[in-house]
Amino acid sequence: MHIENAPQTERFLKNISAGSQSRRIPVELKEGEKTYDRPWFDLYMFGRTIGRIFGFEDETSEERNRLRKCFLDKVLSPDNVDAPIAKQFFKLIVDRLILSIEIEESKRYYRDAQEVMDDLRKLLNQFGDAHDVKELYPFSRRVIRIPVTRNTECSARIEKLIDCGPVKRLKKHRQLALTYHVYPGVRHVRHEHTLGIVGKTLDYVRALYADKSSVYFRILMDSMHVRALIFAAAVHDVGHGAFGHYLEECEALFTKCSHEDYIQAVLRRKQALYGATIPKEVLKNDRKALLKCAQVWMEDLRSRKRLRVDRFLKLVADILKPPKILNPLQSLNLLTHEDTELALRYILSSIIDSTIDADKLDYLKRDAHHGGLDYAWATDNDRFFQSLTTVLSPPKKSEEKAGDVNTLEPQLPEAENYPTVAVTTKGVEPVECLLVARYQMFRAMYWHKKARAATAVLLQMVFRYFQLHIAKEGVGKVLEYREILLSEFRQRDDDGSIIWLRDELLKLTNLNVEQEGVVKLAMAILERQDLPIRICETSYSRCAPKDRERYQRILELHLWLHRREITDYCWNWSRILLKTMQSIHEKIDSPTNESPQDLYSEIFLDVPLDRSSDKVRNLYVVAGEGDAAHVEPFDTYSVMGKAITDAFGIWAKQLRVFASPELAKIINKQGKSTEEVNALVFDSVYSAYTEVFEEYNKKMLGKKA
Amino acid sequence: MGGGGIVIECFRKEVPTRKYALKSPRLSVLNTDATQKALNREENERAAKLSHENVVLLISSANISVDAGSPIWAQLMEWVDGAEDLATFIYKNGETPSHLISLFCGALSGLEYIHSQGLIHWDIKTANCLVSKHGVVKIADIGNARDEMGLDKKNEKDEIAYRECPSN
Repeated sequence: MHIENAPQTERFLKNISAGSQSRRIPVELKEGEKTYDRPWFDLYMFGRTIGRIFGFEDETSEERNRLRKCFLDKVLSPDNVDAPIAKQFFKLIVDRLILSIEIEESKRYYRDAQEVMDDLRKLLNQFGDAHDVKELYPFSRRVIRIPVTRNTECSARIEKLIDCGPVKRLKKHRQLALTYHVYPGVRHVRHEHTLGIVGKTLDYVRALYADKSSVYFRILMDSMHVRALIFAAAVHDVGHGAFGHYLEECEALFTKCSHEDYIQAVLRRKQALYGATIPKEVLKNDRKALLKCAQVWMEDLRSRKRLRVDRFLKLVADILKPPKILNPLQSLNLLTHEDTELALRYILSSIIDSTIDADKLDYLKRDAHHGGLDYAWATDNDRFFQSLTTVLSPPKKSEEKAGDVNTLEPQLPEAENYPTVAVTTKGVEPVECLLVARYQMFRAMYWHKKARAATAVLLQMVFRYFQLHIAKEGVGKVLEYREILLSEFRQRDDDGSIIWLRDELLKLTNLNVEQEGVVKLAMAILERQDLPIRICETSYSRCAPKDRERYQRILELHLWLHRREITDYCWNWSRILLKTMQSIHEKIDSPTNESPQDLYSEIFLDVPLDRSSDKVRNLYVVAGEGDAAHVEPFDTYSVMGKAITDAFGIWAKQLRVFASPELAKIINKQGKSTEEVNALVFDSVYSAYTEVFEEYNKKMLGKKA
Repeated sequence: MGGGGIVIECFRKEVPTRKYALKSPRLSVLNTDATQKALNREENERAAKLSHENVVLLISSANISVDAGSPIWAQLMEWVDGAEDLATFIYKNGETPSHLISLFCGALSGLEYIHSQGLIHWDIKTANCLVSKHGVVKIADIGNARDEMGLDKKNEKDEIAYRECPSN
């Protein structure tokens, strides 16, 4: 080929011999290192190139430094509200590209240029990579109208999900079980709450995409993650049957049988994760229904990200119960895909289950609305969402920050160090409102004495069901009976479950007199007829100082009791009931009838269990903006976190004893004051717990000997 | 002009409006021995495989005579109109983060293509990411490219199409 280019020939030759000053980025390579001939090396070099553009590395000349400064002042000017986010965003991508050189190739975050492009594009849309999740856009034409959340998004695929078998089942179960005996309006069902939490989860996602203080949510989440989150919100209660939370209170009888365990077993297709044996058909049908829904939710995912449906369900399971962080004291970084996947699961999980989750945001207002209470209405949702952000590495408890017991500095709780949703300083007050609302709702509604009386009766019936089965057929088949009960409670509505339980007890009992008692108990729950009457109520704060130690001891022993195996629990519990009843009768000079009818339908104990969910934990505030932003524990900004944790333990939790109307009448006839009766019954409960504990220990020692 | 050669603008006499880039090694690195010839041939073969909107296209290569001097080996390439290097273009014209992202994605798209052809560019830097006056990014200078080592990429991707969380 002959090239005619005469006018430039001279310059061409001159240039050829001149050499040049390269702007090539110097990189030191180990000799003979073959792994450099891999795509990551180009990506690394590209990372250095864009890092230099954003000023993370020096430019090659003063002139170029000047040019760059002008550019950065223009594009990332402090006046631009989006600038800090954009800067964080590019910094993280550059770090992932550059620092990957320190990490083993298989663990590096980016495997190819396409993944870098996908991440970069997450800054472009309002909803990042989830721009194809149509449910996120406001003013949908397809809504369902429910109380509190009002117009709630109900796209075709949300409709399919909430109408699938396992979720539809929640239409049978009242959200607040027996609380309607006190608040007649709270007959709303779990299904309504499911719709509500889906709506609130969408609000969470919208708010986190609008977050101007942290880029983590935007950069971590793919469309698939957001879909899985919505899916998780809709199925989070699927494991509940009738009286779900109330049965779960009885930990000894329902070990590993919580609603969380159930949904994990279904989503992961691992029956062993659930304590009871789920009938194969039920497990299969539930899973099949969820798989079908998952298929619909993955239909329009771009083919590159198409993954197997069962993997989608596993992601949903991870969101509902994230894998353990092996070393919680070590901060997660986002340079490896392992850490990134863990971090995003924890953040998504905290939207469904944390101190400030979508679940509480929905149920507190919903329950208050139906109950006719105003307590939860003070929560400023708009402000809350406006302040919502994400925290990747909560601060570790340091000696300086922890304060000293002898100083006035607040004692900060042990940081759990899990990535989570958090609030900026603007969100402190809305979070305070939420914490107070929850506390007040527990005091006024969830732990109302009448509701607790009905619950105590229910738990007594359930306990008797186990006891009679064990007495009749031994402990060998206990898991079978437990699953039958759970399965019936799952399939039947609340009242139907009570009737079923009543009939089962009638079949199991031989004595006519006890059968009458069983019918009475069932009627107490169903019709509020002869509901037991409170004869003792105390809390740590209400106890006389001398009794506080005894109160704590009862709680400790109750917890100990629930850590026993089922047979031991049943034996100990029936002894505690018997001894309490005997002691009360002794003290009021009334003869004791130790027939089963009296034993199980005269006295009802309601001793609170120490639950971690009552504690305010893993809650953080992001203070400052841009480069000055830093994370602080919530307790640094508000006394309410610690105060509410204490309030639950000291004021809200009540030890209650209920008596049948007959026994209550006998006690009343004694002419003792309420305080005297309270003290008398408290003494009886304390001595029953301690005596049974000693008896049991002696029995165990005897066995060992 | 890069570290390894220079590029000049040229055109065919018959179609003077259509421009090409003529690229040749610097005299200091220019020689005609067998090794260099083999290297030139390799570079040609690599570059000839590539055809993508974000990669500078190789049209031809030959030994050319300039003003009756010794023949010089050169490549005839697509001319990137008004080309500036990526950083300079961004410093002068970068307006918004989304504008930057579209430029970065252009470069990455070119890289992804090069990698899909089993090549590693090995010399990614701002000067090798050219931006035309229309804002199209083109990856240039495949001269240092090397064959990718290791596993077949496609198989590997299929195996780990979905990143599972490790602890479960």
